[in-house]
Amino acid sequence: MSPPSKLERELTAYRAPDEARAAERGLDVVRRSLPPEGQQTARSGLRRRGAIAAVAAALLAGLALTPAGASVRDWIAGAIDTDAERPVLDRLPAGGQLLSSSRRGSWVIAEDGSRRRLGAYQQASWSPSGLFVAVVRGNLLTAVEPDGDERWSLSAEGRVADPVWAGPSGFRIAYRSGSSLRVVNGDGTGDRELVDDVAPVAAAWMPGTLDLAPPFVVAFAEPDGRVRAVDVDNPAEPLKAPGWVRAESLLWPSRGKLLAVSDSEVVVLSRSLRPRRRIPLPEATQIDDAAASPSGRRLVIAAAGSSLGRSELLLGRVAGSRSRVRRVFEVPGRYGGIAFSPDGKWIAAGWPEADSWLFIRPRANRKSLDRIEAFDGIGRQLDPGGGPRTPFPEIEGWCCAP
Amino acid sequence: MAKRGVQTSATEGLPRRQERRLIDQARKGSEDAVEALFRAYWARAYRAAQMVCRDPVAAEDIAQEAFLAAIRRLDRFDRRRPFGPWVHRIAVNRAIDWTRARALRAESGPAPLESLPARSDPGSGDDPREQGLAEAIGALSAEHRAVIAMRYVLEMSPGEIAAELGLPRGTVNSRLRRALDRLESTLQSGEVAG
Repeated sequence: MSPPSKLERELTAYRAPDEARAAERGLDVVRRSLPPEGQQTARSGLRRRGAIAAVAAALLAGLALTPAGASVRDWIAGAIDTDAERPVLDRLPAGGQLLSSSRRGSWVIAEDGSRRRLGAYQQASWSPSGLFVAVVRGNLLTAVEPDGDERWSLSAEGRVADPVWAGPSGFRIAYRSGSSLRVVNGDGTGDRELVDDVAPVAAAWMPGTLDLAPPFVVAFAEPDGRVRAVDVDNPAEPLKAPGWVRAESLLWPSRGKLLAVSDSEVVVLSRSLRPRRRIPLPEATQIDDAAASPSGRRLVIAAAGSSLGRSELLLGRVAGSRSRVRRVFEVPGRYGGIAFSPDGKWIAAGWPEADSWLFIRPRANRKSLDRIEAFDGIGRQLDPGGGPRTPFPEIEGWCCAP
Repeated sequence: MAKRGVQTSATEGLPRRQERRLIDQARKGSEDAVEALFRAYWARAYRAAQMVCRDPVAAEDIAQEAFLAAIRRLDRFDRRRPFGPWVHRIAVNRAIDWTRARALRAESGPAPLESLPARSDPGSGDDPREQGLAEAIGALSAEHRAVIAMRYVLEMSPGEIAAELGLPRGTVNSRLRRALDRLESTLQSGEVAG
């Protein structure tokens, strides 16, 4: 190896401006941000928000007291400044229809950007062909058409969450009611309990066929994250993945394998729940949301970012001999829902803090760049009557063209 | 704790055994241990962040947050791995994202800030070559600044840079080569940014 050149030596010896004083300021912020000596930092987890909020408050207080902190506040404020003229959502970058929900209701957004409010629902999920939408309000599960007309509705015992349609037929819908997993036929009949205690993780259906009587197998996570699967019409002993496989998110793309996503890795499972591949995630990832492309070859994960109050998007290649994950984008705040386009080429990501939807097209090869399109003022555009504190419409799904 | 000047020596870093001991103490809440880790690793994180985003104020915030993020995640940190490179990777990734986010805002906002020259330290500049180097680095593209920062400030190998950025190693090598050629050319011609 040749010795370093003069330029390379100079680069190695490079010093940033005002480095010593910046270090003093930084140390001062760190000292004031630490919890009292002897108090251990609580292990952060997906549901333990209290300890995180306390440390975040200390960090923000530190930022407020330093001149440097003012620049971060200005940057965040600039990122969410809604006074500047911003592009209006007048089209989707790929075909299909988006589904979105806020506290004020659910919307369908067509390819040309036109939008229709389905009703005062809290969560929504596309049927496999986009002919219907399963919507949730309290303990009610309702199937509606994309124009909002109701087809059927049922009242569950516990609060309803995460309705998921079996594909491609749509003949079954799995959903949670309280802590139990239930299933109902696509026409609203046959509502029944499958498992009485599951984790708050959306179930995932094994991709089926259009046969008249295919097996309807649904994967779910037990309270400790262990992965199971059961034939809903013949619920004998469930299939069990190995105990070390844990899931904070389950994805079963229409043409791919079951993906169990946890904070540390993605495990690819066969139909019999046998592990086929393990894809490590970056150190100290905290999963917030995950989505798979229809082909099953790509995976996108929204996770807590490298510092509190930030979220990052991780893009993973699942198939192929070299499965890997890379960071795509990190933003202040959190992501409000993510979804792949029906053609698998685009990722839609909500960014509540900036009142924006981001559409990201991952690079085609390593020598090209990711392409990002941003549309701001989403809350006002979807819900102009919502007032100054319009809740952000999170992205719930991106379905096939009608 | 009594305040002491923070040294920004080129020989930062700690012996592995000492580092592990400090991490254990920091996990238990020792402020002295956290301060020792800060003194050992923060400066290089700041240098790399400043080189990438060209804004010393933003770089300071990024380096502070990167260090605090690492400290808050010590309970998940694998002690068998070196702590410094972990902090540095957080900082440089944050700096890259900051630069990309600012470019994204600039597409629909007022005049992009990328066109402004990097601020210079009033205390430095005694060495014209050092001043010229800072300005020449500032004139590089964001992609080139990132690989230069990771290679020469954080001392990452081309393979490590490739893995971190999700690029082929050959692409990293060619970016480094072009960045160095550009810097040499700028310094020899006496061109400066701004």
